[in-house]
Amino acid sequence: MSDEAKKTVFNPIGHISKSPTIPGKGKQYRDFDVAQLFEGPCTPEANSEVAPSPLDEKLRQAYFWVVNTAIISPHYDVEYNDGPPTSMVVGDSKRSLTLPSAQSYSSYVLLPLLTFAVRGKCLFIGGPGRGKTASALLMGVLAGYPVKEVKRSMQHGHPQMTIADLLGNPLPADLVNAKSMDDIQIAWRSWLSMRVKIIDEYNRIPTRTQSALLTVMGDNYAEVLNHIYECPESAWYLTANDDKGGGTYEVVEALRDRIDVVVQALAFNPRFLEELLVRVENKIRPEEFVPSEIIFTQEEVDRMGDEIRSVAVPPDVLRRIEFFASQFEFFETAGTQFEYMTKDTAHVSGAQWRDLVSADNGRDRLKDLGCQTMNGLSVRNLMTLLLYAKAVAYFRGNKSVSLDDVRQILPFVLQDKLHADLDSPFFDLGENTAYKADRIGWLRYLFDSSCQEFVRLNLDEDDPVRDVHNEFAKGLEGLSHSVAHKRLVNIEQLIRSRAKEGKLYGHVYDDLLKLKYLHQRYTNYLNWLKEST
Amino acid sequence: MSHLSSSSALACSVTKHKKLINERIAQARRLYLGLDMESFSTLLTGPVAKVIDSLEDSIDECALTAVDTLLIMARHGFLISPYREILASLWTDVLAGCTALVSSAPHQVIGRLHNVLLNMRSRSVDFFRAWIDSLAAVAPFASTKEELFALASVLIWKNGNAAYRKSALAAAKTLPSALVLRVFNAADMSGQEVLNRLGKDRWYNPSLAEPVGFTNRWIVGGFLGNGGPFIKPVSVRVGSDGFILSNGLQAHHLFVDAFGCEICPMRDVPQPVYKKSFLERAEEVSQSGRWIVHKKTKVPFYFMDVDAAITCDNDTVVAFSPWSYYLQVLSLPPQAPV
Repeated sequence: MSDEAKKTVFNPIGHISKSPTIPGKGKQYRDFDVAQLFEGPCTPEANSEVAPSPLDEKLRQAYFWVVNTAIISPHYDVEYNDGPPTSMVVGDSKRSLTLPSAQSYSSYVLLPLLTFAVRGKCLFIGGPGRGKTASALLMGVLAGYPVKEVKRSMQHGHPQMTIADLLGNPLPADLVNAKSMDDIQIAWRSWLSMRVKIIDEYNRIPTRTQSALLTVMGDNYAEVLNHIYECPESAWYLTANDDKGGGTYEVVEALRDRIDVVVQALAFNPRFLEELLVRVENKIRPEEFVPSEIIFTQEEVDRMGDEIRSVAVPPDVLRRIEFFASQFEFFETAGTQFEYMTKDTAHVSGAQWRDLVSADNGRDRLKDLGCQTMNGLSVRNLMTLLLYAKAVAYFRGNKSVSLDDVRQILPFVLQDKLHADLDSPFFDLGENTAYKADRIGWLRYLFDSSCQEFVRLNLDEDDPVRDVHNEFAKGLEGLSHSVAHKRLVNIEQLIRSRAKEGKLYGHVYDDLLKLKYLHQRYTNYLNWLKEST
Repeated sequence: MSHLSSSSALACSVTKHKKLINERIAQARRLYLGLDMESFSTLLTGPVAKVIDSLEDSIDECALTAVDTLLIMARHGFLISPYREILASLWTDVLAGCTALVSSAPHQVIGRLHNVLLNMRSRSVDFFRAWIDSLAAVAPFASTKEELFALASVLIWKNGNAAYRKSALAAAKTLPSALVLRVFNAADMSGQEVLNRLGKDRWYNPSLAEPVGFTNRWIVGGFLGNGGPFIKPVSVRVGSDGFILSNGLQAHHLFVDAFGCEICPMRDVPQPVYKKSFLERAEEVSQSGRWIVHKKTKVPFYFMDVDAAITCDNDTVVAFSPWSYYLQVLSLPPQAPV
């Protein structure tokens, strides 16, 4: 029998199904082509003739391989529906168990994979032995590194870790003989050149070493004795037993802020013990069987990143994100000048938070979403949210981001960024107590509530600030004095009408600031017109 | 547990490659916790052995392909009744009838026909039985594997999968005339004529002597709560290849012809290409109480509605019931020449 004939059709661990991961998507064929029906797992040699999968399909194949073969992760917490889902109320607390009607995903696998695709930074949190490090290891293997290399290059945080341990050290002979810093050669640590960087137990790294790590994470270079090592663009995976910085050392705020998404390793469901037994008995190590079809080259990851960035965010979805983000920064009692009425002003000043909050008694603190948080969203948070929303849309084979994509990804991006004010009256309500611990659920609640308010205000149809902005976006060139003046008056009228509403909420505050900005632009233009004529 | 006769070709092959086969089966048993070895063994020693024993060449290759393929089918739940019996028929009725083709390209012939079962698994068992029976009747006449696959394609369509009409017709055009006539049970005409008429007239069935005219053909659809596909009432429009059903939340293709009627969900096609309305034909059809009327012919409208939404193209009427969400599909007689 020829070698060709001996070709193994059956290779279950290293097997990747050729069927599209989303039926109807990622097809390279014409629809309803009967020839498709003859293709499948029983004809490997025919499949090899099929053109390589598009990268989004490859990413989905990687997801399904990891979730079905490598990680026993039965938690489908990223839920999508294409029809009404079945929902059942369970327990004394009347929580609902939803059965999604469309392909849904496990955040524990999806988020690290998206991080790999966008070369972001992902923090795994969860108790010991939940598979955090194993998941990070798999991501390294997906980038094409041998298992041993990934393991060796993984940095394990420990209390004695020095900058030299982390980055590299000068060659001893050079230290003795060098006449200037330039003469010293640095033996850089090999992990710095990896495209997947893994820092295990990052909260055990001493604070000083954390600062060196911050430079590598934030600015992508390492510095030792005036020597610079430029690192390649890479995906980062960090692990910690919790995300509060608890560990041997407190994690510096700036380092935590650099982390794009936080994903929790959920508890193992003992109903899947049988699968564990199979692994124990047969010494199965999934990372050693990663199929070649789902290993990404550097060029592919670059291309995937470009493709993800080209996914569109439709204006209506962007407007919902704007509206959501507007809810949180505003803090009426933190400033007297309009621009400084923000939570940031309160934090920067070092004033007592409680004093400022207790003075804020004009609004319904249960209704105002902004009252549930201690901070607003930073530019970095919003950029990360947009990038990951694009990534998840791309992963699902779509060319534009849907509201569902934003809803699903938002909690993982903001989990460690938007801090709950647990003394807020919202959390005192019995039905909301669980949100004190479940921040993913709370953030999803915040987004849903924001969308409900958006719909209640009918902002999709009636948004005068958007109209004024669109008018302005057409440009001022050639605009007559009378038209500019008319627009200025219109802006003033809008501000007056908003002022009449009485209570100030985050989104109204941002609208007013936007109107002030537009007012200023038209005023400057009118002044310029007056001087030039 | 079934056993092979020690003199069988399959037994010799299995003995020769015992280590390799054992490894594969052990690996499968570890990973597919519910792997039914009894069924696997019954299939291997029964229908598969029958085919392998009748081969003259490539026995080892066929035996290994058969083992691998059965393990893959096991993984997809095909060792459970009634699929187990379908698998058995595929071997005993179809593959046994074209052993020369099996020997010439075991991976291709065995694998591709099994892939059809996997890809069509959402279809009813009746479909599989009909497909295998009809393929068994024509497979021995295929002289190449390409002809066998073309026959299999045509029979997938002919056994009720109207969505594949276009591509199956393209496959039929690669067949010799005699095979075309055989697969469509046609007589007194050439294969080319049959294919031309099939291409022009979706209600043409070569095995029927006369065209049927204005009559009820299919009833499909229905409200989601009653087991149908629709959440809301749909509007029916003529598409470039059948009809388009949409309701703002869902969009579906409706494929109809003499052999079957299928509703297939559309994805990522929010703006299908609509053909111009067939106004002249639409004017010929009307509803009168519980009847759909074309000229002087009346066909009962099967639903309780007062008003059906009626859409026509050149040769088909689709009457949609806005209460039950069912679609009644009727064929129109060919348009009289002007």
